[in-house]
Amino acid sequence: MPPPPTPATRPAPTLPDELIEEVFLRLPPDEPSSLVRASLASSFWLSLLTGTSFSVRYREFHDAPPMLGFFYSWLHDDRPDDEGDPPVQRFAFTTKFGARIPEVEEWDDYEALDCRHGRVLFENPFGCPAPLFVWDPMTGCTRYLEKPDGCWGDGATVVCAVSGCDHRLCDGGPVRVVFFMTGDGDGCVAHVSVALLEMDDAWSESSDLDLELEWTLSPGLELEATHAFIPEIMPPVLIEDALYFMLSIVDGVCDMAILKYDMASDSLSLIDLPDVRSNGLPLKDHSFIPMAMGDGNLGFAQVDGLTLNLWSSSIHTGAEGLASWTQHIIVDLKNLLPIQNPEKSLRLIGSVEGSDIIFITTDLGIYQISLKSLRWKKLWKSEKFSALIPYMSFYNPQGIFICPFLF
Amino acid sequence: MATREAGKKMIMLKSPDGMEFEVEEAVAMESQTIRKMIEDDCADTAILIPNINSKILSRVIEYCNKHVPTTGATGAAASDTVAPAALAEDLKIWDAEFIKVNRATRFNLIQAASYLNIKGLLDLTSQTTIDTISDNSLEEIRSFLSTKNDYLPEEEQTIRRENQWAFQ
Repeated sequence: MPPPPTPATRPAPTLPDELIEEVFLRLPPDEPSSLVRASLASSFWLSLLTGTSFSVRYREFHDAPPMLGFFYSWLHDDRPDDEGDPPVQRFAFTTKFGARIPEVEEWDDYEALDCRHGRVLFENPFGCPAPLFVWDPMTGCTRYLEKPDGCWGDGATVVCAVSGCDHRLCDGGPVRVVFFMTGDGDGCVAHVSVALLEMDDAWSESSDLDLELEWTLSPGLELEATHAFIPEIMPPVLIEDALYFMLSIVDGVCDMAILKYDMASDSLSLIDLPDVRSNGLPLKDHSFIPMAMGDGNLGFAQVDGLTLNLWSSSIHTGAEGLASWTQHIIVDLKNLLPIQNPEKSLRLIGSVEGSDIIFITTDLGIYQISLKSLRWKKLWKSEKFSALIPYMSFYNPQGIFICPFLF
Repeated sequence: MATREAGKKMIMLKSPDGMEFEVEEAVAMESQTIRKMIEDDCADTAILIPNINSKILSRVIEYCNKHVPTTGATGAAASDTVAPAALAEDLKIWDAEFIKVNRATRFNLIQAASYLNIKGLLDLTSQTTIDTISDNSLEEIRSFLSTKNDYLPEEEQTIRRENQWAFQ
């Protein structure tokens, strides 16, 4: 490297290109507009910042994708009346990134079931042209699909289908759509139905109905129950290759357990919950969620009054069942969050996979809390959401390339 | 300039403009580049730092002096006795003062941090640069990093129109 000229001989100091790149690695991922603005300073920077090599380095530098917004669903009858107003779309992007929103008939009747690896699964039982679609808000790619036969309930998810992927660069890759269902048998038999979906028509914003879609039914798991179902819009969590669904099992009384679906071995198993009943009473709706913790463990969070309990259990791939649950932390939410009316029930409405962040609704707002540091921030005003599903994604700067002369 | 302290191994760093800096080996080893030279036994006498002038090198040494994990009389790291949060807060305040320099000096520090492979200093200098340009307009970003706008006016107009969300 030649010695840099002294500032006196150079009125406008510059940096070598490779160091400009080094500086740009620090562009904040939760502010995609800063990356776009920098890209448009010159065509050289545009090609640098939209190139694959920079994208790979940038995503490695920042580790986990940022939260750019969220999808939500309302509690049963608490959906606001939007008569006369434009249709309510069930998402809020908290950061500008140029979302490519498809034209969807009856947007307000579609409900987000889950979102993972930058793709979101929406459902409307009477939707046209199909009751389901998967949407990539970054690329605009939207794929409609029919439900698997015999499936009617909640409990569905979407997950990147690229094996060995670290989910930093899988935009545009195929996804798996997974549906929980119960089959007929002597008793109650749990299954999942899985379909593979290509999501590669980036930027075209075309909405295709995939008629060739094939659903594959997993082997069944017999349950000692009359029937079983997934609580209303409670997305599963993904840890390594396995999905963990909350499952209500009804056999005279209603009990809860966690249903594990191991995608690698295509097998189902049941995991008992930690002993969480308070005063012998069953768990209240919206008072608990499964979590994929930052340390790779399975978590189970529950609010009891103004106290939050968190249990965790280590996962050993391939091992049968789980190690026993250990109570991780107990948090006194009254002393942590602003709460005006302590009589009002708190609701756990979601979490960020692979972190210790959960979303709690109080009478004053929706809060995001890190259970590790106990730092919190207000995410949204108080709304009667039953579920809040975060949208985590890196901005894809190739989206800037929509100008024909740049190809 | 550093003075020799009993029991501490010292290293001599030389800048191309002929200045010599005697620093503790532990301080010099904050630089991964120098650490490697020392570990490979290439640092018997003095180490010439080829492309960093004395003014910048002295600032780099100042940074490393502050950031080297200090050891107390018992040999325990200071971070064991001082609350880590307080220590981190102290360093943050110190860093904020340290980086109050003009653009030319900061760019020279980025180059030095990159050549000497001092991650903390590269993070600090690069992040400060990003913070400076993040809230600025495109014209200010161009001027700040001395980049020439090589788009045709109609190209730039199209780009702005198609990516309007980023300019609002």
